[in-house]
Amino acid sequence: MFLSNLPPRMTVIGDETPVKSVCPSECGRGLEPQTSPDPFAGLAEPFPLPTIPRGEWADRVERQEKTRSRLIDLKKWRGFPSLNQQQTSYCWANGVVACLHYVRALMGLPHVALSPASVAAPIKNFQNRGGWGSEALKYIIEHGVAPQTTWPANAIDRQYVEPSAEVRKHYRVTEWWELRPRNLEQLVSCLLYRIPVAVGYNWWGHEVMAHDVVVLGRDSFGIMIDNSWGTNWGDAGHSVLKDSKMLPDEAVAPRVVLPRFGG
Amino acid sequence: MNKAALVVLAIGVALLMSGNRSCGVVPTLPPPIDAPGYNVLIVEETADRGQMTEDQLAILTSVQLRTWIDQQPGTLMILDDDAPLEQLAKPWQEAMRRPRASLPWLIVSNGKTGWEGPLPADVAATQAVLEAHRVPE
Repeated sequence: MFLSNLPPRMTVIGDETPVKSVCPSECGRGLEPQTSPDPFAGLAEPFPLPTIPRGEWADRVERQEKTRSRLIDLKKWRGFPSLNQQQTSYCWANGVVACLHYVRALMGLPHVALSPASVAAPIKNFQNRGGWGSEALKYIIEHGVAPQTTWPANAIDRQYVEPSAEVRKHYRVTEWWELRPRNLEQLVSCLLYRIPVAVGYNWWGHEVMAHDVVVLGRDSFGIMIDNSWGTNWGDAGHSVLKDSKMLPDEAVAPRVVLPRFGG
Repeated sequence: MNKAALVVLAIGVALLMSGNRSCGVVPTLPPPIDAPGYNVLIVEETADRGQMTEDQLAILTSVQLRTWIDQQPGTLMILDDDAPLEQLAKPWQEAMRRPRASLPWLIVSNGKTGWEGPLPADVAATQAVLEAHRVPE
């Protein structure tokens, strides 16, 4: 998408944007200070694809738009909403779960609303605490994620463990990548290859999901994100990051899930 | 009728029987996905998306193709080459086990016949293959 085509509510957040203006007090965030010596929680699946040369980015974005083949086109066509973490600090699980919604749509699987709290709450011993997307992804690889029909999206409550124990195993990630922190070439390439990325930002204390590349000007690019602050934020939950604010301190890309139809 | 005319006639009959007058693809019998209705399967290796052109990547997420398949009505699945199959219905499992000459690979099945081969070059060429093998009226 090009800057001139962005909907009015699709705000562009860059270096000049005050952090306070993109952190409404009523919206939860939740990245913990990054102190782990292994920020990827031992996932160890580095991004292996060739990065797409920067000179091709604008042309590819233009062709994606012409063929209506961006990930946001797919989301709109399928019609599933952005997540809303409400007052939880589980943005780091919401970002990864949002990726799963997109990956399932790409694979042709029906939309099943998945529960970020079913991932984050057990990791944090049922406390409302921050974390990182890599923690959430590792947990989903090993244990899966529960559909919201068995575990409400933001419920931090042990009563949902048992009823969702079996079904969550069917919603696991089987293949994924970790991207190098603050590496724009890998991030943009991954998105142009139609692979959504959960991106965590220290400047924001927040994790979101990146899904498409935006051309902001000559050799100037941004990334379109799907936030977890509901559909009233930005343009139906979406906005654009640019400048240093788009460079993630952590980025993980789940790319294949179990082909579970639903239920 | 001379020999050359017979060859031309034979090719013409074969093309007509294929039901495809636009792209020259030859149908697979029996249907490659052993299920009723219109089913489309794309098998890819996500780790090899770097080898796909932008025009081919567009096939994976094309809203135009998905809308058309929905209208048949039909089902589209895009599966990784080594995705676990135990959660899939048996016809899809069997389709995934069919030999493939390359990746990404396209399988189209309309319940009576079908087609399989390398994923075409772009959305338009893919649409042509799909239309050639829609469910017969």
